[in-house]
Amino acid sequence: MSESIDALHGYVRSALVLHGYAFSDAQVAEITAQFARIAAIAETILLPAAKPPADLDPGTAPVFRP
Amino acid sequence: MSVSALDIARRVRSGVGSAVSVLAETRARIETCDPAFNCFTATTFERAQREAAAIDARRARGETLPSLAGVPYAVKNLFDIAGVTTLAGAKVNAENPAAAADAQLVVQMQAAGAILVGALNMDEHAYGFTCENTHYGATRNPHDPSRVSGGSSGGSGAAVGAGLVPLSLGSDTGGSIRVPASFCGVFGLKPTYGRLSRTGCFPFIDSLDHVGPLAATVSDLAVTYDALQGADPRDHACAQRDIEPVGAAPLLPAGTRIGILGGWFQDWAAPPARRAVQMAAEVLGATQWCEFKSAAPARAAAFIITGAEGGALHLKKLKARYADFEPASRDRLVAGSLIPAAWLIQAQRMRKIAYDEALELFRHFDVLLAPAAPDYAPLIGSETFTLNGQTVPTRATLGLLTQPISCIGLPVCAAPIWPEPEGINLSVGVQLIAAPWREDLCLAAAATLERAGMAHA
Repeated sequence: MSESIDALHGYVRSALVLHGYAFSDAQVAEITAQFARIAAIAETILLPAAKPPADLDPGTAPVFRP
Repeated sequence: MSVSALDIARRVRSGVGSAVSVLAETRARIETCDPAFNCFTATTFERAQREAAAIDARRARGETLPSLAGVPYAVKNLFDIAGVTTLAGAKVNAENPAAAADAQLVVQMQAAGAILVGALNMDEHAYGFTCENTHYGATRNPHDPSRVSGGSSGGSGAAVGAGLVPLSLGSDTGGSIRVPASFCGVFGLKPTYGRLSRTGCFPFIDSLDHVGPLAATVSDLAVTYDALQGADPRDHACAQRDIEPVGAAPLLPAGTRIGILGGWFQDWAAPPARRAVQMAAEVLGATQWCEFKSAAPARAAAFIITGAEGGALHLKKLKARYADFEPASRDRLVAGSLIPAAWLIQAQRMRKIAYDEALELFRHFDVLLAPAAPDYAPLIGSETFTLNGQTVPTRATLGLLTQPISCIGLPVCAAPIWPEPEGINLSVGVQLIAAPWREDLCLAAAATLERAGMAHA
């Protein structure tokens, strides 16, 4: 995700409200930082340039079983 | 130094020693030494006394005793023990009622004659790689108490590494058996996803949770693994497979092809971890390098699945008791609960791609060799450490080499290597990775390293 931290902050704040969490601004900032880290790692499999390419079928996600 | 479980069982079976006397020695050792390491969060000596007396009574009646007769062991405190509250490392679970029954693997250990002596410390809810638990204290590394034991099964690794018990059980979602085995200098087995029953274990990430044994020798590990096998319809992930016993002396078949994983697995390894791989490769006769190109995306998938499932699992309690959660991981859990569904679905799709690539690798190799941890165990309290000249966050980095493998459920044996035999007395593990359901090859490769004196507790 290349969204700015402000955009992530907005998403996190809204999603926290949706879930019914009640956090201080400082806590929201910390949770946003954690979410930004998740988003950065998620880029590996979400961006079109991901290696291997993220050209996965838009169909079902299989339940993983070895 | 640890005592071999199989030696204990032989002594008990032959009558050279009794299970009750072994238990007395074990209890004394735990009471004397554990305060220095903080492995145990509960002991079960009264129960152990009953179990040990029952074993001795069976011998007195002339019964044939099972494989682990009289062998003391302990379990990570996410395994249910009847009459003990299952903490899963969390303060928020401390007021829960005691477990009504044993976890399935505890039942199977009892059937094998093993004697349960207690519950072991872990990172809260298994979400961590250092076993620095704010509520129950840090478990210290048995070879250098200023360093972490690794996690999340830190108590399980340290209790065996310190010689308090010869066997323990742990769980591994992203590396939680292999990282502490690596740091504490013991062997650990993460079997194939679905091989062993998780019934009666406090869940962390259902899609990724594995359970398995840790031990001081490969023979102990293999015989314990055999005792733990068996289908269990109560665990939806547990495969309906027959028991495939490995036995006490697994041997690598002639011509076994061993590949050394490069790329990601070298990029994130410090010199000691690279040296450990090199030393193991020489013993195994491995010269061919290969690459698992999906390592980074598989790790990313594991990270997203872990965040999303973990956050969802604890959502209700996080809302009610946020302050009582582990400060080191609670914000990660909350952030994980906000992960969009599309990311999670993409992560699950990625697992299939990575799995297919791994199966292709196993057309060319039987066993893959990689480091189990990036470096030696870091110092307790260190937020960062230096890896190949870069300052990296400790908690986020320790699992980088194990997470890609957990993501696709392959069996792995972690074997402790001591890269500086003349220098510092610290181990770093190697991963011996095989195709699904080939735990026998992982254990046989570890046994080869052990027989050569290369891997040992």
